[in-house]
Amino acid sequence: MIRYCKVRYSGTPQLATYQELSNFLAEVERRAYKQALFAVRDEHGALDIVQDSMLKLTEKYSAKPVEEFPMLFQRILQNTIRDYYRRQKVRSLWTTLLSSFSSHQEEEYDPLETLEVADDSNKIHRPEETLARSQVVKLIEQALKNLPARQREAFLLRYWEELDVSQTAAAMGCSEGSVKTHCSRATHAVAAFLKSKGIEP
Amino acid sequence: MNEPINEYGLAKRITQHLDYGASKLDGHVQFRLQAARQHALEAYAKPHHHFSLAWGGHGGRNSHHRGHSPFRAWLPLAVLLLGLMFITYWQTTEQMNDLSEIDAHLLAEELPFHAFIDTGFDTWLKGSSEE
Repeated sequence: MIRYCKVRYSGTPQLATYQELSNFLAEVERRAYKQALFAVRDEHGALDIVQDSMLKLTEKYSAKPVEEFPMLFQRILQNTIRDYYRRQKVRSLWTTLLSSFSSHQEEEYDPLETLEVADDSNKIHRPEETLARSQVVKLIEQALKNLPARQREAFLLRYWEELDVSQTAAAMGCSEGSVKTHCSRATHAVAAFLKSKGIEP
Repeated sequence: MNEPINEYGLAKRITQHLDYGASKLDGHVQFRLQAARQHALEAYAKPHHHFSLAWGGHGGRNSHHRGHSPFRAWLPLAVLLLGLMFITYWQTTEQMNDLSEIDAHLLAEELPFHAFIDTGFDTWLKGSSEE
């Protein structure tokens, strides 16, 4: 797939117009959501992260040339995911502290009430091929979720977002060597996971 | 021992599957993403980075797609400056009018002008008012 940043002309950088910004966001939003979902494993949290990232890009960097958007947006997205982790950590700390004072509430908690059942009803009548592909996608997504955060981040930025090594390093705030190592480990780990499930990658 | 694999080729095959997965998002997720995008784009229309006054247009960043004249952005500032100049002029004129009025009163008084700067006259006035 050709990403938005690659179809732009080269030469003197020009400031992004409203339409260019809109096209960029439309092009990147689904992958951004998936990235956030792999990281935080919560649909609402992932959607909030994408919304915050889009807003930050628009408010602070919309005057930048459109060629810089992919890297800037990825940097914002990764920082927003990290902020989410921090907030979750603080929240869980308070929850642990408070729950130790009110242990009786645990008795009333029924985990079945909050369990979300995957709605597969619409997939029953789909062709076999589509179902098989969906299953492969699910396995790949599961493999990505199981990766260490930095490896997943490097893999997605480098191969899915098609940033080059230096851009990936800048977005992640690490060296280019680290990016290569993370990418290599991530690719091998995903391949090994798929093999263990009987899928030849 | 792991067999050597073509990392890039493998990674691209994996991301093709990821693209497929991203194209099959649930309707409500797509709707939320679209709403988030619209929300972000609304912020683009607001003047955050450039100096301009409320009804003077947004100037700068947005002028290229709104077609506003650059003069429009500075019009309120010009009006404000003219207003300040007028107030200053009016205050100076008022002050001069007041002074000339006082002068006219002083000159029209029957009491000689020297009486006002004579300290003896002031003492006499105080003494006569006490009596």
